[in-house]
Amino acid sequence: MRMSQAKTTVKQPKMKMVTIYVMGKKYEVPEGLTILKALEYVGYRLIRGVGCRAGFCGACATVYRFKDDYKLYTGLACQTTVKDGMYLVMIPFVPAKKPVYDIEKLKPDASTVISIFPELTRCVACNTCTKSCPQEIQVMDAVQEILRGNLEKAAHMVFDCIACGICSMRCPAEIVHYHVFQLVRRLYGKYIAKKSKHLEDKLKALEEGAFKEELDKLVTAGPSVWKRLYESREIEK
Amino acid sequence: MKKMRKIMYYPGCTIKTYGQRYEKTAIAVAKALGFELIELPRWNCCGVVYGLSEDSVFHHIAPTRNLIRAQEFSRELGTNDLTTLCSMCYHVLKRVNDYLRSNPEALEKLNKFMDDEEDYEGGINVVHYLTILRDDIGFDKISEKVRRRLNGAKVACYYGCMLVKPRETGIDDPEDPLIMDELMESLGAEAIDYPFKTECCGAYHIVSDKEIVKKRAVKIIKAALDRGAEIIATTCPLCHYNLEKGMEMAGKELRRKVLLVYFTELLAFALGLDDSLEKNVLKELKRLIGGEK
Repeated sequence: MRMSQAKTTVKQPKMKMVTIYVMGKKYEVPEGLTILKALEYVGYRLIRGVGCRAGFCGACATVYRFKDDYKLYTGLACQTTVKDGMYLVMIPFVPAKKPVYDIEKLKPDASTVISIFPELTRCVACNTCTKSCPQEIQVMDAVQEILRGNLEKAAHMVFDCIACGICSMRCPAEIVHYHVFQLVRRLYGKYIAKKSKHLEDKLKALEEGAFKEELDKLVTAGPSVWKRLYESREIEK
Repeated sequence: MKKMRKIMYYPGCTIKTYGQRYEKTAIAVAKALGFELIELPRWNCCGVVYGLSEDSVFHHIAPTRNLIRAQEFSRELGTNDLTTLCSMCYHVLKRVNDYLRSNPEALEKLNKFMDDEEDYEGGINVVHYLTILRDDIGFDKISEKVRRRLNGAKVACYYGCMLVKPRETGIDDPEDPLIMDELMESLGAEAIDYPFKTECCGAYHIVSDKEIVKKRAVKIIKAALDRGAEIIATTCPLCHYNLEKGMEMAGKELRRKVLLVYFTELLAFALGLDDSLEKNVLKELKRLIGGEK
C-alpha cells in the first residue's frame, strides 16, 4: 500500500518563486499569481478591498513600487500579476465626498457639473489621474471635456470607469473623478442620449400587463419547479 | 481654387461654452479670407492665469501640455503657428511659451515632470487671430473684401488687459492699442477714442464680488457712450461676459444703449457672412448699420 502510494506521487516541477514585500514584509510567492492570490497565499484573509475578482467591481485598488524605480505603479490586485521585487499595499477604501443631487432638476452642461463639484476647476492638467488609471481611460482629457461642456464626449470616454478610486487618490486637485463621471453619465443618459423607442414600448407593454400571466405562474410554482427550471436554464455558451 | 493656408487653432473652454458665437464667426471670417483654423485634436484648459510665483512651475503644466499637443499636431499640419481667440488663453499660452524659451531649466523640469509626453522643444509660435489678420492678411486686403460697409457706425474697441499686457506678450501698445480700431476703420466703421479701452473689466471678481464688476463695467461703457459709441467690440469672452453682466446689473441706465459684440461678428457682418451670425446679433447689426450688402 505504502509502496503504491509512493509510486503514484507525481514529482512536482519546482515552482518558480518571486519575492514581494507586503507593507514592507518580505514574502516568497509563486510566479504568475495575481496580487490578490499572492496575498492570500502568504496568509492574508481579505474581507474589505476585494470583490468580483474579475476586474469589474473596482474594489481592489493597489499601489506598488520597485526598488530603484521612482515610479509609483497602480493596478487592480485581481488583474495584476506579482513581479519580483514588488513593494505593494492594497487600498481597501477611498474616502470621497459624495454630494446628493436631484437628477430631475439638473441641466446637462458644464456649469451644472462645476456647481456640484467646484473642485473640478482646480485641474492643472498634470495628467497624474490618466497615468494611474488601470482601465486606461484618458481621465484628464475627460475632465477637460467636462470643463468645456462636452458632456457627451466625456460620458463616452469614461464608460469603462469601475470607480476603483485610484485617480482620486493621486489627484493633486483632490477631484473625485468617479463620482463626477457618474454624474456626467447620468446627465448623458437622461438628457443627451437618444431615447430608445423599443425600450419605451417594452416598458409600456410591461405596465399594461404583458408577461403578467407567465410571471404569476412562476411565482406560484414552488421550489421544486424553480429548481428544475434553474438547472435546465439556458446559459451563455 | 486657391489652397487655404492652415493654422493650428486652440479654442479654450469659454469659447466652447459662453463664447460660441465668437468662434463661429471667427472660423467663417478666416475661411472667407483664405485661411483655415484647424482645432487641435487634443487640448486642455490653457491654465487661465499665468503663474507669477518664481519658484513654482506647477501652473505652467496646463499651457505647456497644450504647446506639446500643438508640437505633435504641427508635424501633421506643416505649420508651427498656433492661434487663439480668447485674450486669456492667448496671454497664458504666449507668456508661458516665451518663459520656456528663455528658461531652459524650467523647461527641463516640466519635461521631466510630464514623462508621459514627448519633450516640448519651444518651436511653437503663439499668435493672436488679430495679429494674423493684420500681418498675414492685411487690413487693406480685408477692406477690399467688404461686401457691407459699416457705414461709419461708431465702434468703441475694448481691449481689456490680457491682449495687450504685459508689453512683452501683448499684441499692441499696452496703454493705447490701435490694432482693433484700425481693423474697424478698414471695414468702414468709425472707431471712437475713449479713455478706458484697456481698463480691467473686473475679471474673476464676477464670482466673488459682483459689485466690483458692475462698477468697472458701468465706468467703461459710460465712457464709450459719452463719446457716442453705438457698438462695443471685444476680443475676450470674459470681458464680454462681465460687460454684459455689468450692463444687466446697472439696469435701466444702460439697457439697450449700446450693442456688445465680438470684433469677429462685425467682420462677419461686413464680409456678408450672415449665416455665421446669431439671429439676434444680425438683427441688431442690421438695425444699427443697415441691411443691404
